Amino acid sequence: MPIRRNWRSLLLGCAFVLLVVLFAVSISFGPVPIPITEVLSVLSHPEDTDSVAGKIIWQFRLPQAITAVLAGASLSVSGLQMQTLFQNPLAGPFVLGISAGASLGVALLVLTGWEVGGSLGIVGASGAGAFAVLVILLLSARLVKSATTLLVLGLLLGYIANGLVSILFHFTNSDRLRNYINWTLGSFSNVPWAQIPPFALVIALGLLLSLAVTQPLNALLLGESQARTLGVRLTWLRFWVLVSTALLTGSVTAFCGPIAFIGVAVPHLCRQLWRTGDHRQLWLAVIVAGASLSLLADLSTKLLGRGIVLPLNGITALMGTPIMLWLLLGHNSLGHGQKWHL
Amino acid sequence: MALRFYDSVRWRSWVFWRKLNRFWQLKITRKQSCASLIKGAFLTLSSLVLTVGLAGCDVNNSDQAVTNFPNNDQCVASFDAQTDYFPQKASIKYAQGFTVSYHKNYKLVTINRPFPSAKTPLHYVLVQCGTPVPNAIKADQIITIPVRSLVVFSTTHIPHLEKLKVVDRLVGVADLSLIYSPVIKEKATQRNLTEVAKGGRLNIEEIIRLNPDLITTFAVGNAEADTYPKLMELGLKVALNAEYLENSPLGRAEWLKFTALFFNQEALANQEFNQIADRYEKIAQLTQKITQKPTVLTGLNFQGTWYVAGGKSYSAQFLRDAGANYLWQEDQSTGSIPLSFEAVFAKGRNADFWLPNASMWHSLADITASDPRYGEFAAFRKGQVFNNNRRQGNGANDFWESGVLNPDLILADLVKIFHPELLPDHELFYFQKLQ
Repeated sequence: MPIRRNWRSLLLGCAFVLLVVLFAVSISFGPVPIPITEVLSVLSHPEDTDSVAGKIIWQFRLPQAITAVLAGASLSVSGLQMQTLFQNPLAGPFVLGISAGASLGVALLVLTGWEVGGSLGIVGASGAGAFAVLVILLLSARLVKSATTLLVLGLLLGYIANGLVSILFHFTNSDRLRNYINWTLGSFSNVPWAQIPPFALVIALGLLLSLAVTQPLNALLLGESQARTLGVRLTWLRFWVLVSTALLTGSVTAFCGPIAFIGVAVPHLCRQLWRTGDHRQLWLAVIVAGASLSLLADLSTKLLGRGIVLPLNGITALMGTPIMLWLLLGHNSLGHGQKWHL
Repeated sequence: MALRFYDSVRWRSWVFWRKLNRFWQLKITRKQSCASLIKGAFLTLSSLVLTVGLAGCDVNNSDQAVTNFPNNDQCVASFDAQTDYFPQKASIKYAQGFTVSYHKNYKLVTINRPFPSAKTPLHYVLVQCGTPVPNAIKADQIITIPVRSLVVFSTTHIPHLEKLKVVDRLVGVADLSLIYSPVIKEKATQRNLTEVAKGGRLNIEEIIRLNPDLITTFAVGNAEADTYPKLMELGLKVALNAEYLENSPLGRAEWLKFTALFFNQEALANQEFNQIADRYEKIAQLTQKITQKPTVLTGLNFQGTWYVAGGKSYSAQFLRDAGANYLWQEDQSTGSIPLSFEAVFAKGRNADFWLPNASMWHSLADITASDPRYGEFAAFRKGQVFNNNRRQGNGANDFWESGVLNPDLILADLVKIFHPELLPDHELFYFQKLQ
């Protein structure tokens, strides 16, 4: 049906325009007022980074906006994958215990006072924590037959990691706690230029992997046994979805902290707006919508003005809950999210 | 709803019925009762032995805990209603947080704002040991003084004890690893000190065993964080010290006199504090005529949020007195302001000096390793970064401990940093220049 298809492409186009607008607003709006003309002149002369406006835009706002886009896109894609893989509407990027593993890594680093590495140290520690959880999950994914068991296993790993974190808390002082607590509040502003290329590379890899598994994930919408009869190798699928999710959420958690709600809310929002469950179409939709939503959340942290920042996770929760509630009450997508036709 | 209620009634009646049945099934034979009697006697005996044993242990322990009692705990032997038992009186000049009035045999202490959200002040009545408690007086706590044994929960109270020469009364601290004081560390190695809140967890049993005359602590007004209600529930006397709410360095230091009230050491406290205040005012005088005031930036970026000191905070007061132009001195808040890195960069990139107050930074390389954007600050490029961690042990920083009582030393450090020509002989005490 070409008309329907055009309508969806149009919607995607609109979402893309929204993303570009939000990106432009993020760069031109901030605690330090910079006139639009100056913003444009700074952007048109990338070699001139000596002016204050130039430094602020190139060193602070641009990396922050890019980080928000990358993080929003990857969290949403991994949320979409998790919801289909576990056939659970409440599944999100963090159900596998990856963020808990990352928290443990950061807690170990920050709370033991072994923190000279600064932000790079935190990235390394949370990456290592997430990787440790991933290895355990991948090893068990080959042994475990059902997706539910895997889900429970992820939850249990999360509990273990959180338990260890709380024991670590026991032996620390409040000064170091602040560093850890601020990490758990999430922020897109901690990725300087030097760290953007590796961050983007890992995310690109994760996104490509997730694009490769859209077809078998579509088959999984019909149920596990149906998918099997259609020739999908479930253990193989599970393995690659796990790898892609770990790359996406592990890197985001490492660089930005555990960002809540975006990964759960965006896939539902997109299923509802695009009226489809087809992963081939949703993949791009989720990327664009997730990036837009996280840019919007990042902009909202600056709403108070006077240079004051609000905690990002507070904003994402405030934005994510109404979206979920709206879907739940008005459109009844939750629980039936998997039932959309291809 | 009704159905559920019915179910619960049915369940309860069933449980009751079962218990009743069981009761009737217990037909006690003579043999059984004899055995139970012997068993009971055995249990009573053994528990008696245990109790006596434990009590013995307890006595030993408490003896050990309160060894070094000095002899000058003058308890009044015969009370005379006309005698003024407190010839030494504290006079308070800078601190806004507490007041004291003297009455023959007791002191009435008022803590105006024990924690930020407090609605009413606290009233403590300090009664001289051996004299009667005044009748019909409204007080939150009645405390007998002089205090013979003390547990402190805040590291900032420890320098008070050293200044007032009553370290021997200290029997417990919250967590030794947070304390810098060499005197206290030494005392701990002689096993004269008990830790009662290691890792932030209150060890109630240890406190009950110590049974101190007084516990000094602070409150933040948060039921989860505050330990004092629990301690008072146990019948212990708890003095809430609110020095951290003072907005001037000398106001904070003057809480030395608050601690002195509990030991009848007002004369010593007045004398020591006057010296501190004199030195502070003299140094502050030096910078009065300064016209070239360097700009100063404080704090650092914590995962996206840069907390800078408010313009009416005590840190801002220090910088004003040290002849500096604090970038946020127009701000009206007394706490800290959570700003974005970008906002601080825009305002502070050209600041002449940067005082990050970051315990983990010991060199300029540490700073850029943590975020390369710090390298853009002029103070960083000119090497004018001074950190307050010169006296730092494992987990403890003396700046936050003895620094509260030595504002003159902190001010001298700051003047040395901003205007070295004014104090040529002073050597940095709490601060160090990062290389």
